[in-house]
Amino acid sequence: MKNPSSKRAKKTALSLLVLLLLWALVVVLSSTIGPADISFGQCISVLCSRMPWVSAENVPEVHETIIFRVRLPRILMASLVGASLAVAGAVFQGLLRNPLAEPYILGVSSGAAVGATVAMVVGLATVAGGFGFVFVPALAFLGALVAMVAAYQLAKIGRTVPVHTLILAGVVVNAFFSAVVMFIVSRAGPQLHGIMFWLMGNLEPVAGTAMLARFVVPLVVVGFILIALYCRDLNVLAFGEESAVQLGMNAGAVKRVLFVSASLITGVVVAMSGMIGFVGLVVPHSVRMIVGADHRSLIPTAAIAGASFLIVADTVARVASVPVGAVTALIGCPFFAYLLRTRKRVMNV
Amino acid sequence: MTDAILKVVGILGDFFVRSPTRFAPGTARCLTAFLVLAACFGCDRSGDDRTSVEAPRIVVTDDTGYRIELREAPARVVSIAPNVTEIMFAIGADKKLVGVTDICDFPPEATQKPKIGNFVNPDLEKIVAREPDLVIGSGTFHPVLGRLRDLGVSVLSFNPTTIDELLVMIEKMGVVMECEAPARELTTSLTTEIESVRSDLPTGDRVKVFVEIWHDPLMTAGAGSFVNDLVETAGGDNIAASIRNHYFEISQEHVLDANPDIILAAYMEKDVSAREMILNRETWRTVSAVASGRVYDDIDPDLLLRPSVRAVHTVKELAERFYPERFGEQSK
Repeated sequence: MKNPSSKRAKKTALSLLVLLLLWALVVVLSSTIGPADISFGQCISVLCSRMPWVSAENVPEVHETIIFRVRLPRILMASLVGASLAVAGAVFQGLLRNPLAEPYILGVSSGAAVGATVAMVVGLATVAGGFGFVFVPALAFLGALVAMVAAYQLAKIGRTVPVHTLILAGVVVNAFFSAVVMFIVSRAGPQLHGIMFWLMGNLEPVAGTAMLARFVVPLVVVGFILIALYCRDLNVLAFGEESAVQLGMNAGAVKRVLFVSASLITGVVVAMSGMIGFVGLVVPHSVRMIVGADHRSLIPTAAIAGASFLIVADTVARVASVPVGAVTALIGCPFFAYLLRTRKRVMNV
Repeated sequence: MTDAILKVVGILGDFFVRSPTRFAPGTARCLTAFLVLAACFGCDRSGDDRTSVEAPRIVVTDDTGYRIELREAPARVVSIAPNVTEIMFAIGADKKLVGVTDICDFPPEATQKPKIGNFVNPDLEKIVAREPDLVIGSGTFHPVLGRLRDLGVSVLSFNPTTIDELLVMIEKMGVVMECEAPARELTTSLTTEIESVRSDLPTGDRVKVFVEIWHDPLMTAGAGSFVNDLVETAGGDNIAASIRNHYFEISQEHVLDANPDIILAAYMEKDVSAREMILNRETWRTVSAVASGRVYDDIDPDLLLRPSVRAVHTVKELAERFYPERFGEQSK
């Protein structure tokens, strides 16, 4: 006899498998595309040269460097950031019970940008040897948290967060924190010219892969694990706080943990790659159509789909030499408009 | 390390498998997550020990405090700034240049070199594809430089904001390229040139100069910009020198109030001349430079803004415009 839970698990497992294969395919394809003059066949042979059962035959060293140390780190960075933003979006949507919640739209990304900019301008990044670098994601996390709380407090009416107040709150929070960033950058002088590029979204791991491994990946992983552990609670919360309380859940505490975790991963990835919008909107909604609204399925699938989505967007960005934030916005804004129109009818906003 | 991972996986498994209905205590779950954090921070302790076998022959520290040590002169160099390209040619190291930016247009031979993207946003992949031993940048901070160092490429970044700093940059590049003699010769002749201009300058009042970097929005250059030092060296008084920033927006009010004797337009417009445009500004009629017609747009902006050898020659050009009574006669 089949119960609905195992059916869901099966469907999720299948979706995860398909998405993982898709991600692998996207990684391989993306690593064959770039401005350097390396043909598709050469790329594949470089990629295969690292496999144990294939003999490496006269692969130029520079091709190896370009693919393994220039393209792949950036692709992995895109995976990490895409997964983080998609998961953060899904969590915000569940928590606020609002389809338009997303780190960028809520202003959480701008808050994180303020934190990271302050850390860079003040020079915290370079103090205390290599470990001072941890201040950049740490302050970005703080900024994200402040923005999150501000947007939430502004938007909520009683215990609900209606679509229109959320959007308005996001606009205000975004405008304020963006203005703060502009102010800091204009005062900072020439050495921070790069900040403007970073703000528009840049997935080049400029901090260095060692820094990524040491500070960024652990923090993001912690956020992911916390969220994974609270997926079930998120399901209950999505039905409304009353039902959660009736089930004996400490709704306030659970919400706090989830808000903090989602702000953590948003803050950390914004500190690394700047403000990349709409990933947290496009990906969770698309995935929800396939695996349904159960967060135990939604969160992991959104993570993998988000990774693939941002790799594709960044490949376009690399080829066209535009900031990746522009690419995701070009895809995301029409999607946002579509959601706004359809939900308007359903939710009677 | 593996023990820690196994333990974490075990705890995670417990949560998912054992308690399908009950909500696990929050503190325990937070603990799990931070255990992972601790495990991750614990790993990655691979310290690299750099015991060089041979003593490096070439040691140079750039303007960002970064030090490179080379055992031999680099054979393949990529320039990601037009002034670096110009200096490479000027000290006779151009044969080693294997990549330049899209805007490296001087000397004309420079345009024949392979391109690695534009100056503002050079392409990491194209740079790496040129297989450089050394990459030299100048001016704005490039995130790309950090990535190149990460890849094991030697990188130097110069940011000269005065003629003196430029001379130091030229000499350092001479050291790196093993073109010390021509570099020294060049800096000596440039120093002589500057000194001769300086000795001819009047000792009394200096002319007040407004450097117009762009017209919409109105932008100028303050202390901390290279053009500021050119103007000051040529005996001018930059009206924006009190502002310790490089290039920035300035209000018209400020210019009208300072009443400059000379306006230098450091840009070119396609259809109208910058000079005509400035002379025709209604509100600027009272400005002494406009009233007397001492508005100049005839110096190539590259010669004012690009900290390279040619810019040093510009000092004389500027002095001729600032003090025609002293330098005009001399040139005849």
